[in-house]
Amino acid sequence: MRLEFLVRRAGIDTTAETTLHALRALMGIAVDAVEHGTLWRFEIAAEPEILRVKDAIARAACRAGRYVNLNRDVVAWLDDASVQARVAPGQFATDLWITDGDGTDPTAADYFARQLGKPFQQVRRGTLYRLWAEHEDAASARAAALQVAVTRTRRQGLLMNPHAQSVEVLRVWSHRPAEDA
Amino acid sequence: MTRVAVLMFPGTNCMAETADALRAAGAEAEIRRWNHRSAKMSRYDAYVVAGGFAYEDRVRAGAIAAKHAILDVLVEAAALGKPVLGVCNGAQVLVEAGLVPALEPGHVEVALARNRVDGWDGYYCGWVFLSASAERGFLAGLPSNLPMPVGHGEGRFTGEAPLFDRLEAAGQIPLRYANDDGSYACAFPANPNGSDRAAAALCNGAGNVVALMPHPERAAWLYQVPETLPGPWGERRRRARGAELRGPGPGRVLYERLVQGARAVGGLR
Repeated sequence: MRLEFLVRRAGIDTTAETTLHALRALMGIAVDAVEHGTLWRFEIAAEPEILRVKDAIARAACRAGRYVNLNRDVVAWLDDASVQARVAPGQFATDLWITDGDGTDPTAADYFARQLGKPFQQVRRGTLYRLWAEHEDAASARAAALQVAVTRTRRQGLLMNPHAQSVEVLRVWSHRPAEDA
Repeated sequence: MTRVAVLMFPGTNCMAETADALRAAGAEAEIRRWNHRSAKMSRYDAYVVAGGFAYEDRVRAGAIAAKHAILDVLVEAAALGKPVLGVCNGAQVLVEAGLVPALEPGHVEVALARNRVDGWDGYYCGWVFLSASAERGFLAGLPSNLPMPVGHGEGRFTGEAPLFDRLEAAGQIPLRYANDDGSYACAFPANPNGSDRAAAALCNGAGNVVALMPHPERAAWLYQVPETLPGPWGERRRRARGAELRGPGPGRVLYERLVQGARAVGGLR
């Protein structure tokens, strides 16, 4: 079972603001907004009481100040459908997950294994960018997001360097019921 | 006099000491901001992109600075053969701008990834020794076994193995981390970040654009060398008294070579 836990700034996220500026002003890319955070992907043994597992993960993450700073951050689950309510007609919000290498973190894995016990199998972490922009359809939103993500030349791509990082399109949110592109 | 622009972005913090080191090496150094008019920028004989945290390393070290229009000046300077040096965060900017190694100019071909070596993960500062092997460009003939300070979290040159084979064969790894006996260092802390081929610097094919992770400006004067450093430079530091401490440190020679390189290119043009 896979659970994706998102940690974001409660107030202004300067990285998101700077990314938006870079995309628009330095690269000339039409993007409406950028959101940013740290996304943790947990692999958990099949568990009927999903809410209890989510609660245990959130508690463990928040207990460790290095993973969640409760004075600064807010947390959410990526399957929370509240994003969809914010998507305007014709607009798409594309979730990109960028990891250093494969995103494994032995220190974090050790911590969560101790905190969660037997159900815990693996955790990876990376940076989530949610790009808001108008597109024809989810497929073109996905393609455009990957263009923005993968740095191939000085003028093309920004969010990840393919020689050391990986990128995955997690989801494309649309005004209609969510489409997994 | 040779004019060198020390380029800074929001978050750069090594520009003043870099300019001082360049002046000590005989240059007329001026600190120039990222929004300085490009037309005025092209009149310099050489360029140094100083270290620090351009744009606070947001998104990725060097990634946003690399998109700035001011980089067009460096692209032009590189093509003219003028020396262009990026130190630490400046190296990350040059790599992200595709100026180094530039097998296919403008293409981002390698990464400066998070330090990861022998269980060490992340930021490290300390002194390392560098083995020099440049055959061309302003680092050619540099003495080996130079001690130099490092301070970075993302200094691991990495990329496709065949590409590093090409770089090695083409002499585009001008400086490498070295052990006491001069051999290339693969283990921490002599290699502080786990760089492929122990690379401390990469350069373009002509050798006039260099991305260097250690900080020569923090070793430009003898007083900056720690008394505990092993080897001849440490010995020199331990013996030095009074005004001798204001003598050149091991990093000065890199800036002297850059200035000489700029003069040579200026003479040719």
